Amino acid sequence: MTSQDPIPAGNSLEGDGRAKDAPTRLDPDELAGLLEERNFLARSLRDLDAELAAGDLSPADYGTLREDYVVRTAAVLRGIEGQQSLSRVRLAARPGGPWRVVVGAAVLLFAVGAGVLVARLAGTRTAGGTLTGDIRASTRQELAGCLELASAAMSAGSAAGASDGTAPLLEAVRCYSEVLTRSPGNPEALSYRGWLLVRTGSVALQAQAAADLDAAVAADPTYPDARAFRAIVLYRSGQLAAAGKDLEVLDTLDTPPIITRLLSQFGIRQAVAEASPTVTALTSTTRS
Amino acid sequence: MNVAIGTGGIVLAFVAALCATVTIAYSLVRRRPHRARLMVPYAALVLVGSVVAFGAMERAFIQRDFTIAFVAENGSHRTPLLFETTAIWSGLVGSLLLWGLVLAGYLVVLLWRFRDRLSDPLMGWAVVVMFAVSTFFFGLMLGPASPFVRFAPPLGFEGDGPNPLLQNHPLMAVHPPMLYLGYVGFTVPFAFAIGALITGRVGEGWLVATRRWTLFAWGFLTAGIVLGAWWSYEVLGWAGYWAWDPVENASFLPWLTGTAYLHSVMIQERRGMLRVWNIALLCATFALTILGTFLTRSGVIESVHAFSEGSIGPILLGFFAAVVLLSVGLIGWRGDRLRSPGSIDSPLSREGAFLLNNVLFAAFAFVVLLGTVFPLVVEALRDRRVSVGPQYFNRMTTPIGFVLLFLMAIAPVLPWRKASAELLSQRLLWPAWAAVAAASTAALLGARGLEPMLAFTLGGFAAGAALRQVILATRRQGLRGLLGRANGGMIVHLGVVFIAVGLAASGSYLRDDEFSLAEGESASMAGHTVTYLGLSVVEHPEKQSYVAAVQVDDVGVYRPSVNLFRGAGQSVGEPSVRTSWKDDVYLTLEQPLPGVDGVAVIRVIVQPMVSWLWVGGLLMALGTLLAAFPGRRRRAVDAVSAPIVARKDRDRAHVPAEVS
Repeated sequence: MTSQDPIPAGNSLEGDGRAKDAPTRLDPDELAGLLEERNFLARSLRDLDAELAAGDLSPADYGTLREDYVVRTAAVLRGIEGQQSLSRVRLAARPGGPWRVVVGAAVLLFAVGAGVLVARLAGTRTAGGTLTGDIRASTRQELAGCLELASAAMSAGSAAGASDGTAPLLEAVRCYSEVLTRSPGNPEALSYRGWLLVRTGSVALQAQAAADLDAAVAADPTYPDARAFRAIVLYRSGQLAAAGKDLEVLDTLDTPPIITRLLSQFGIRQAVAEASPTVTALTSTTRS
Repeated sequence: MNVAIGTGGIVLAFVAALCATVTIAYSLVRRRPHRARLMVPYAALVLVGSVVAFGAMERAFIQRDFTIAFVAENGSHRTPLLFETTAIWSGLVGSLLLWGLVLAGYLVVLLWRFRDRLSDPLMGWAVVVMFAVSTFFFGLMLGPASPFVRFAPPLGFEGDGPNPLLQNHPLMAVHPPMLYLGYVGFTVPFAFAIGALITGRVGEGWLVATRRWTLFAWGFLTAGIVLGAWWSYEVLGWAGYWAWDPVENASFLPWLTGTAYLHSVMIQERRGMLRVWNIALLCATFALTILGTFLTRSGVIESVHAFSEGSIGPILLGFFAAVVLLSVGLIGWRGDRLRSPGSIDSPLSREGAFLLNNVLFAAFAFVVLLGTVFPLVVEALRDRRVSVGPQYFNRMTTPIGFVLLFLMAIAPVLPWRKASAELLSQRLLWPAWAAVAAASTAALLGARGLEPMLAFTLGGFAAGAALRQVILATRRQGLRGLLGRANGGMIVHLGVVFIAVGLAASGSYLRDDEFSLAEGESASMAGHTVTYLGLSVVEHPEKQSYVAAVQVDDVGVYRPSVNLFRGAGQSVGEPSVRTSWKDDVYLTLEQPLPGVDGVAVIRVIVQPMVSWLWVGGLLMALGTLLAAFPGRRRRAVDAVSAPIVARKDRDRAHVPAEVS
C-alpha cells in the first residue's frame, strides 16, 4: 500500500473475500476470516520483534505476548486444516472473560444515572426560554432572583415560625453566596446574606452574619439596607451606642420605606433614644 | 430574473444528482464499470447548478431584490454590504443553498482526487451515496424549502435586514461556512463506509483512503465551533462562550463522535480491531449532522408543536431515520466480514487507552444527546415544557473531561500491545514534572478550588506528554517532526490543553459586577480600575449607537455600546473587551441609558485566561493542518519509537511476508 494507492485492494482477502489457497468445505466467509486472522497474527509476530528492538516492549512482555500469539496462530492453522468455524477457534485460543458483563453493567448504570440526573435537574421552560442550557445572568438579575427567594423565605418564616422557615432562608443564603463568588464585595449580597443568617436564629451563624454586615457597610457606607440591618443586630446584642451611630448615618441617606418600616417594627429608634440622650439629641436634630 | 436563474440552478443540480444516483447505481448493480465515467459530467452539472443557485441568491441580496421572499425577510437597503452578503446563511433556505454548494464542491474534489479509480466499485458506491445525499438536499430546495419563493414588496419596502445579532460582528462571515464545511465534509467518509459495506471490502483500505477527508471535516468543524464560541463572546454581551444551547449541542455532537473516530481508526489500522465500531462511529457522525440540522432548522427548538407545523422537520427526521436504518441494516448484513482479527493484549497499552478514550467520548456524546432531546421527548409524551439547564451538562461532562485530559497525557507515551511499569515511569517523567510545575505555578498565583487545580495539573501533565513527543520528533527529524498524524495530533492536544485551562480559569475565577458611574467616576474590581468618560451618539445607516467611553486601567479607552437597529426596532448591546493573556476586562453598557443625571450603568466582567481559548482553537487548527501533511513515511504498524529507516530499507521492510 502506498500513498498513491488510496483504495488498495488490501491483502489477498479483500475484494471478493475469497482465498485461493485453502479448502472450500467451510463457509467462504468463515474461511476468509480464519485466513485473515492467520495473516494478522503472523504480522503481529513480526511487529513484536520490531517493537522489542525499538524499546517499546520489555523482554518479559515480549515473551508473554509472543507465546500468546504463537498459541493463537497454531489454533488458527489447526482451524483452517480442520475446517472449524472462526468463533470456535477463537474460543479455544482465548476464552472470553467476565469483562463483557462488567462493561455492559457499567454502561447500563451510566445510562440510568444520566437519565435520573437529567430528570432531576430539568426545570420548567418559561415562555421564550431555551430548550437546553442558559446564558449566565448578570449580577443584577441574580440579585433580583435572590431577593424573591429571600422575601418568600422571610414571609414563610414569619407565618410558620422560625424553626420551620430555616430551609428556605438557607436556600436564599446560598443564592447570595453564589452571587458573592463572582462579585465578592457586592454590598447588597453581603447585606442580605448577613440579614438572612440573622433571621435563621442559629447562634453558630451569627458571627458570619455580623462579618457580612460589617463587610457590606465597608464596601458601601451609603447603602441604607446594610446600615439598618447592622443597627438591628447591634441593638439586639445590646450595643446601643454603635447602633445609634448607624442610625445617625442612616438618617442622612435616602432610606427605602420598607427599611424604615423594619426599623419601626423593632422599635429600635425608641430604644436607642432612651438609652442614650446624646443619640436622641443627634437624631432629633437630623430629623428637624 | 434572479428567481429564474436560481430556480434553474436548483433544478439542474437536482436532476443531475438524481440521474447520477440512478444511472451509477444501476451500472454498479449490472457490473458495467465503464459507465462510472459518467460520474464526472454529472458532478460537474451538480456543481454548476449549485453555484448558479447560490450566486443568484447572493446577487439578489447585493441588488436588494425584494421580489424574493427570503431576501425581503433577511435583506435591507440599510445593511452594510458584508452583512448583506452573509445574510444568505441567516435563514433556513439560504443555509440549504450553502449546504448544497459545499456538498457539490466536495463531490467534485473527491472525483478529481480519485480520478484514477472511478471504476472501483467501492468508489462507485461512495459516489452514489454522495449523489443521493445531494438529491435529497436539492429536492428539499425544489419543494418545501424553496429559496426562490416570489414576494410582492409594497411600495417603499426597505426590508428589516438579518437579525441584529447576525450583523454585529465580521465573524458571521466565517463561522457558519466553517461549520458547514465540517458538517458536509463528514458525508465523504460516511459515503465510503457505506461503499465498503455494500461491496464487502470492510478491511482497512477505505479507512486509509478517507483518513485525510475525515481529518479536514473534523478540522473545519472544530474551527467552526471555536469561531462560534468567539462570536458568542464578542456579540452576546454576557461574556460567555458556551451555553449548552441546542444549536451549540447540535454542532458538538458530531464533533464528539468524529473525535472518537479519529482515535479509534488508529486501532483498526494498527491492530485490525474495532471495525464495527469505526463504521458505526462514521455513520453516527453523519447521522448526527442531519439530526443537528433537524434540531436547528425544523422549529422543534421552539416547541415540538412548532415542528409539526412545518414540512421540512418531518422530512429531515425521515432522512435521519433512513440514514440510521441503512447504516444499521448494512452493518448487520456484513456482520461476518466485520469481525476483527485483533484483540487487546493488555489494558495498559495504547489501544487500551484509545478504547477508553472512545468509551468516554461516546459517553460524552450520550450525555449531550440525552440532555438535548430530553425536553422534546417530555413535551411530546406528557405535553410539559421543560428545560435542561447547564447544571446537568456541567455535572455530567466535567468528570469525563478530567479523565480525557488524563488519558491525553498517558496515551501518547504508551506503546502498542503492552506497557511495563518501568517503561511508563521513564516516559512519564517529563509530563509528571510538567504537571507539578503547572500545579505549583497555579497555587503560587493564587489559584484555589479542587476543579480548577485539577484542570491545571492534568493540563500540565497532558501538555508535558505532547511536548515530549514533539521535541523527540523534531530532534530526530527537524521541522519535519512537526508533520504527520502523530506529531500534528500532539499540536492539537496542546490546543485542547489551552482550551481546558482557559475553561477552568475563566469559569472558576470570574468576577462580575455592575457600577452606576457619573462622568469621571471610577470603580475598581479584581485589580482593574474602570473610569466612565462619557457617552456619545453615533448615527449609522442601519442603526443608532449609544457609545460609552470607558478608560480601563492605563491601557486605553474601550467603547461598549447599545445599538438601536432601525429595521427591527430592536436594541442590542455590543460589548467592548480589553484582552490580554492574563485576563479579559469585558465591558457592557446596560439599560437604562444615561439620562439627564449622566449616570451610566456599566457592567464589568473580569475573566482570567479567556484568550487561551482562542489560542487553543488556533493551535487545534494548526495541528490539524500539520496532521494532514504526510510526515515521515511510517507504516501504520511501525513501533511507537521506531527509528527512521532509510528509504531502501523501508521499501524492503514493506515487502509483504505471507505465511503459508
